[in-house]
Amino acid sequence: MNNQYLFLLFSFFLASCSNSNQQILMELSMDGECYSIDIDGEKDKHIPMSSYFKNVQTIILETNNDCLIGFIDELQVFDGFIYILDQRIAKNLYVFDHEGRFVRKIGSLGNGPGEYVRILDFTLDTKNRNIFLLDEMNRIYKYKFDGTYVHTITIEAPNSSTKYIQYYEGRLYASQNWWKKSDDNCMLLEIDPNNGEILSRLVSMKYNKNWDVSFTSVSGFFKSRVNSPPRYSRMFMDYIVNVGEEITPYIKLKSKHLTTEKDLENIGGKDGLPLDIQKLFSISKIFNIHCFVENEDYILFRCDGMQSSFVTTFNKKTEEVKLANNFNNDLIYNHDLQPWSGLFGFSDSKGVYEVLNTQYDFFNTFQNSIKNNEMIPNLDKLDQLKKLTSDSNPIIFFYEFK
Amino acid sequence: MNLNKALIISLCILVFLALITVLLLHCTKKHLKKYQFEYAHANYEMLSTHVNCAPEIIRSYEKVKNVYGEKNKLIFRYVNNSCGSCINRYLIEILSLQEEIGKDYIWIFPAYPDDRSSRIQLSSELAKYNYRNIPADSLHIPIFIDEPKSYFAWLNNEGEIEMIFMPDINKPHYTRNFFLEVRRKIKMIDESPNKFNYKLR
Repeated sequence: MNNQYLFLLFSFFLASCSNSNQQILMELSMDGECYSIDIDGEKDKHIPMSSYFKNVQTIILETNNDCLIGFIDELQVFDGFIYILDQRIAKNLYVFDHEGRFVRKIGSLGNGPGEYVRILDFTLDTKNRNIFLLDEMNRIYKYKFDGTYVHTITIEAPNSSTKYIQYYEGRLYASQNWWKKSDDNCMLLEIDPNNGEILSRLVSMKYNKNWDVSFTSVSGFFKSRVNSPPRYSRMFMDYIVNVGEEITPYIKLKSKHLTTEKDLENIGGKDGLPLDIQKLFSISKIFNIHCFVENEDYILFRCDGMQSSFVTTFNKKTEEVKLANNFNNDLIYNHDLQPWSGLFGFSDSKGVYEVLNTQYDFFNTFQNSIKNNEMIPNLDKLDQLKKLTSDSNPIIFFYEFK
Repeated sequence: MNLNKALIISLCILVFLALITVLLLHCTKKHLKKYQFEYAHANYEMLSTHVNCAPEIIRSYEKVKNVYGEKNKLIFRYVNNSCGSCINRYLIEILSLQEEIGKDYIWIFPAYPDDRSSRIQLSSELAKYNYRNIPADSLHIPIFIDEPKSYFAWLNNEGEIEMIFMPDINKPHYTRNFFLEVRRKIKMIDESPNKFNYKLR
């Protein structure tokens, strides 16, 4: 009798210690479709945007005291509504319609129920009409699309912080930065959105040249966010992967100039020591992918590296790769000397969204271009654009795919 | 016999407990002494900081007290490049105090540049407070050892500054003590607004 109790106790002890739900997926599965994009080819000066887009629509966001936006950090579009995150200035999530009319704010700053300290990222559950907001305290707030607060979950992942989240097929995926080096560090956590339980640990840091500490990135790590499946990539990765129960490569970058682990050590990045971004740009190595957009025919993105950045377009059917120093925005400008173009923030099957924040030099240069008649004459809402000032909310341009 | 055994055992337990108690008291006394020393030392450090900064703060407020005319108010002033999480922490504590004493007794005076970004940020972060942005060049934030210091101050019923306090995020009990004093002042005002008239010494 005593032995039976002991055995039960021992079994219970073993069961409580087991961690079988948290799998570490060390190797990416190489089965299935994976595009290989060679980014070492010769670069043209420009790629005309009219090669991929048939027109551009101007979305002028309403400016009033309820919806003042300082800077658009993240933008997603669904069902005719534009979700805009101003992370650094207004620190709120706003919803506008496609005409730029303000609809509502989601949640608010504070410490009460459903109030957040600072939003880092958000993701949409389009099927169940939920919004998940990631707070810098590793908390995720769930709201309905109409702004009703549902509940809060906390990501219990010691020695790490969550920077970005993505909802997909009933699961939340959290991109982690780690404060301590460990072989157990992983890029993604798969989380139950109902209770915050960590279900899996995904993608070894070796695919990121073992760079697992926080580093400023020019854009979020989740790409094609309403695609099925969404994509994921972070600095120093040679892959863009599909997010889901199984993480598989979607794109493999081919280049002689991809950053290696040795490069990181040489420019002061060993053991997670602060990395000098100036040094990163000074070496002729590619280290980041951003402004990633796609439809069923094309993939467009920017590469940072080689002492500047360049654009890449990829035809999914023919696998043709085109490289250029920049896009030529011939849908807005009537000349080649353009101050800004192709800084895409979001794409869906219909087109691509680009943001012009009004607080910075780009906007002043844009306004000068209008004054100097450097725009195409039939640019959508040109008269309204002329009246905008640096006190106006940012402008969004929607480029419709051909 | 059994009774004798029980008595002896009880006596042993009592002696044992008494020994434990003496030992605990000894350790507590030692710890208390150490704590008192650290507390006194920290108090001294804080005082010296305040002594250095206080005249500058007072001089700054001499310029504007007649313009804004705030009286019997707790004010909190901070600069935009202060530790963000520290400021957030203080604002949370101010909000708790505000819920208790009322919004009218508290004013926040951030020192941000006068531009659109600042206006948007402050209207969002300070939506629950009375606040007014006073850029640093018009009401100088005191610089101490090349580091801007956020501070609390109590404006008395003549708009004069007193009770300057520079919070330390690592010593929240100081802030709590300061807020106790604020509550006491407000209680006195509520009971008898003209009874006391504090002057700077």
